[in-house]
Amino acid sequence: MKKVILADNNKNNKPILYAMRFLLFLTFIFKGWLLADMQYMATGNIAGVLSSTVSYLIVGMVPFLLFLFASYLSYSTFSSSKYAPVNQELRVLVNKDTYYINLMIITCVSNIIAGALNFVAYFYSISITLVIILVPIIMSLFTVVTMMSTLIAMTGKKNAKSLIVSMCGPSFILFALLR
Amino acid sequence: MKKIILCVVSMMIMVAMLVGCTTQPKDVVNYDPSTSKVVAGIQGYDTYKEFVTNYPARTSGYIDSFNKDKSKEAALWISSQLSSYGYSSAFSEQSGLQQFPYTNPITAKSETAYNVVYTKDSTTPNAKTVVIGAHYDNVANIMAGSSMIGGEGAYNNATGIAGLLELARILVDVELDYNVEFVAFGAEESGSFGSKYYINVLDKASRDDIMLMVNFDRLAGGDYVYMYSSEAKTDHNDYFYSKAEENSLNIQTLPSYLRPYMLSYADSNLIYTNEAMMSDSNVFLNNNINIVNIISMNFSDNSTATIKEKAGLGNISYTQNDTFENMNVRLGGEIKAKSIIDAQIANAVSAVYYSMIGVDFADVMIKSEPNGGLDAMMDNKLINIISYSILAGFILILVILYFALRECVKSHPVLVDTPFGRVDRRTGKVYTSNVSPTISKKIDVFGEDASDTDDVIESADSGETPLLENKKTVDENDIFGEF
Repeated sequence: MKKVILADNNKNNKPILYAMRFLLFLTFIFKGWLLADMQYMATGNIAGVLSSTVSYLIVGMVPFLLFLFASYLSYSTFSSSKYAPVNQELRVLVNKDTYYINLMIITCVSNIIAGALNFVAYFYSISITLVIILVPIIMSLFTVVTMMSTLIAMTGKKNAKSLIVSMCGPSFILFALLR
Repeated sequence: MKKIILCVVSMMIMVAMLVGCTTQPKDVVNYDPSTSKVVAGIQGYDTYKEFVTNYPARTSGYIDSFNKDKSKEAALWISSQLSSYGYSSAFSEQSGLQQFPYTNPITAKSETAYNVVYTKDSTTPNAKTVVIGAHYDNVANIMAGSSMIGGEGAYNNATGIAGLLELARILVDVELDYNVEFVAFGAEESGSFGSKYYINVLDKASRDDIMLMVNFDRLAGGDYVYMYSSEAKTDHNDYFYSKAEENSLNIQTLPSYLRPYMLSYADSNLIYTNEAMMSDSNVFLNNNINIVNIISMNFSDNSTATIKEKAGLGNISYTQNDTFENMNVRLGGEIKAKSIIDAQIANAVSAVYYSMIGVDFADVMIKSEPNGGLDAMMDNKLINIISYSILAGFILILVILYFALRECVKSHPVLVDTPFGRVDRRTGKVYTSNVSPTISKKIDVFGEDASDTDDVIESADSGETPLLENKKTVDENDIFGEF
């Protein structure tokens, strides 16, 4: 079974997608460095580089895999919405690669901001609870809002309403899975 | 190419930032007495040396082979010191010792331990109370599993007792508008039983009168002397820290994130950011009493999974290395050790002393809350409420937008190809336009006996629309009915 509404993806996008995924993984590690540090400090039995590396990888890998799942599921939901902006051939105006690349760029920025906020929490007297709980939620909001704004900018103002309506479902998915 | 270069540069920046995340130990603070205005005459090392060398085995409940309670002997020595300064005790009939029973969690036996309690009474009516506390017991030669742990408790906590006694000594002749209670707690290492008993036997009014508890736990021997409160920031801790700054004392604040022990001891309702949760101060905090902890450590050394007192060296607390001799070796010989321990105790005690003699000390302590600073905003419950309120608010906005906008947005079919044709997934309606171009057009159907068929074909070829009589037009979907 094939969805005809999915736009054809350009094979030239593959290297960019791979590079972006790798960069994204690094930003996830950066975002969670303080959490990784705490996990390592709390649970690390093997002293030295190995246990800290494992902690960093876990902290980066889990949200990264969640992101991949979230991006697939959110685009699938978005593109199969009857309100998604389409062209005359009923093809969704936002192609899959474009959606993924946009989402990855925005998430990268979000992760870098969140990672930088960890430094603020580390060096100044700001509670760790701010970093662990509030910042990720604020950054999820930032990601979703920026994603919608970018897509509106790409598809044109005339499609803004249909895009917002069709992005409501994917937004829930992103809120739930982006960590 | 530009994109690839951009990606590579970005990755390099990220890696550089990650490398920068590794917190390296800072240089050890130079505890040169000439650079800090410590109170003159504080000789912490001598007190510390006398206590640890005379009472190396003072684990609560420990009875030696001569049937002597070494813990009680240590308590009596502290009592004699405080008594010699001129302080009085409500337990004078018991030589200043508050006796209490407890069940030792290691031996599961009922044992007896002692708090040493002395008071400096104020002449001010309805005066509040400040408790200066330090535990005097240690973990000496205790079997934990198959290995022996514990040493003489030189670092943990003979240094704290030295600080307590030095502070008591320099406060003797100082007029204060509040009471001060000096308490050397017993059975802290077993589970803070001394402080729990001390608090539990107080009536509510006496408990409410305690406006602050200052806890000395491991006061010297690490790289830095830290002063901190129940959370990273409270008004009362700020007050203490400001006094330390005014007098150029070498006192540090904590990094505000969890340390290994702290995480495992973290309360379910509040992520604590310091080691105060492991000491007698936690008992006071649980009774809603302000606390200030002073500890000598190196919280910047993240090189292993355990806290270290000195960067690059193994942990000393609760090990057989916690001895007077080993402390001297670690600190570079007895002369250097004396200099460092003296200076660190002097800095810590001076910070408390300058704060306690502040004119607005009592006002600040009374008004301040145990978690009343910035971090009062940061406990888990409130953060959760704020965070999820923001999230719920945004989701509500999305739902409102969805229902408000969907009426004015054109919907379209969502098509999938199936073996049965192209189908609208939602309605099940079959579309064949892209599968069979012929069927997708409107079709004129004629009877077999139509006499004008040839004319129609000719007209169609020439692009004209013939006028027909015997025909009917069907939609593409109706065709399936025909077939």
